[in-house]
Amino acid sequence: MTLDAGAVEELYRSHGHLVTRRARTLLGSDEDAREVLQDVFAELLRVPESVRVPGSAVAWLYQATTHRCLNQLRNRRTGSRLLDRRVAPIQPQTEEPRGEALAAVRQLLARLPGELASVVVYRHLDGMTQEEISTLLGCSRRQVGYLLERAHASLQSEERIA
Amino acid sequence: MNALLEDVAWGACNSAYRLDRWRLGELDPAESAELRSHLDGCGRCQGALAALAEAEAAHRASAPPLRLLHGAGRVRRRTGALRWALPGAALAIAATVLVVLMPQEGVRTKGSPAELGMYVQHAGQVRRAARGEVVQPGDSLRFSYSIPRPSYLTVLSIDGAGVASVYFPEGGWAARVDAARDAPLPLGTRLDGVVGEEQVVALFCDQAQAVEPLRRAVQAAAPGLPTVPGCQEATFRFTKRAGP
Repeated sequence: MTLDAGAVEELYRSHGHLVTRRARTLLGSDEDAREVLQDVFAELLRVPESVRVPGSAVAWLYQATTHRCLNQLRNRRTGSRLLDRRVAPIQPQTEEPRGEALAAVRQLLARLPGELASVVVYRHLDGMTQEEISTLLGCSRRQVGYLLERAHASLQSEERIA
Repeated sequence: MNALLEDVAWGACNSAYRLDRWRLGELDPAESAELRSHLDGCGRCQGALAALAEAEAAHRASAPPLRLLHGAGRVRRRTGALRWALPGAALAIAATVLVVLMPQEGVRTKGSPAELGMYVQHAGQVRRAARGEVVQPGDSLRFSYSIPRPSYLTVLSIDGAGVASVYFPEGGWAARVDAARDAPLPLGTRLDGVVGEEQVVALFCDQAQAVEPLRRAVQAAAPGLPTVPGCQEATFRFTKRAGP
């Protein structure tokens, strides 16, 4: 898939909402979600050949969004160390039922290696089947299952530590 | 499954990914027909689909243009974990100046529950700012906020000359923030040496607000506070003075 500037802008208008929605969920911030939105499409403009799933803009946007959001979660974690622990982490007392749990999940995701955090996001937050994930990532279902097992084990370990 | 993951798990039979692909025309006719048939009899998937449509509508109502295509310059990238940023003239470093943080931690106005907090980083140590606290040049500040419900937040600084500058957010519109307790703003600042009174004003608004009119209102009301309908404010006042 090769995209010129006009095509990227059209894609931004037609598909940008799914980037914003997922980034908002993963980061818990409209401001950060807007930044991810811009970054994702800017990369598409700069490196159109990076689209790895021919014919599926949705697949590429899912991966690009997940990658950037997980990076940002990890950066936040590093940043919180710099600022000592006297600044409490963001604790949304939101009316959204998932808000508090999402905040906790973000902290856990920030501690996982990237490939494990990604499959957790796809499997649990996006509800994707292992088959969908394997197609998206270009690996076998068995590999996806293995990654999920490792991720769950790591999360249980993190929870025990916490 | 991890209990936390159960709490945040996608709640429909079909994944968000599949529903997105269907909505955007990426499923082949057979898959599309199968999904449509399922949707007709599945309330959970109908609800999920409605949520996706609602999110799309919200995005379309507020999404800015794609910056690279509209001459706004290079897309800003966050390379650092914590941006101890320099917001400009109001806060430039001066080695001979001490800054005294005068009042007031989490000042509230109009009986509102909105609060501002401030943290100071000095020589690698972080402490919460308190009344009368002396801060060395080069120290860094970071603000935190507390608000019991989602709001649109703008934070401004008013220097001794009564000039208001925007501290947060970097964009042209107030940033939506979730309800939170002592949540740090995503950027910090390094203290400057502009001598005189200074205060930081946080405006928590019920609806999205353009930042520039808020800045003008704050500047016009200085040294008092503006009355902005639908907004609550919280402030920190500083007195800056040159040190030895």
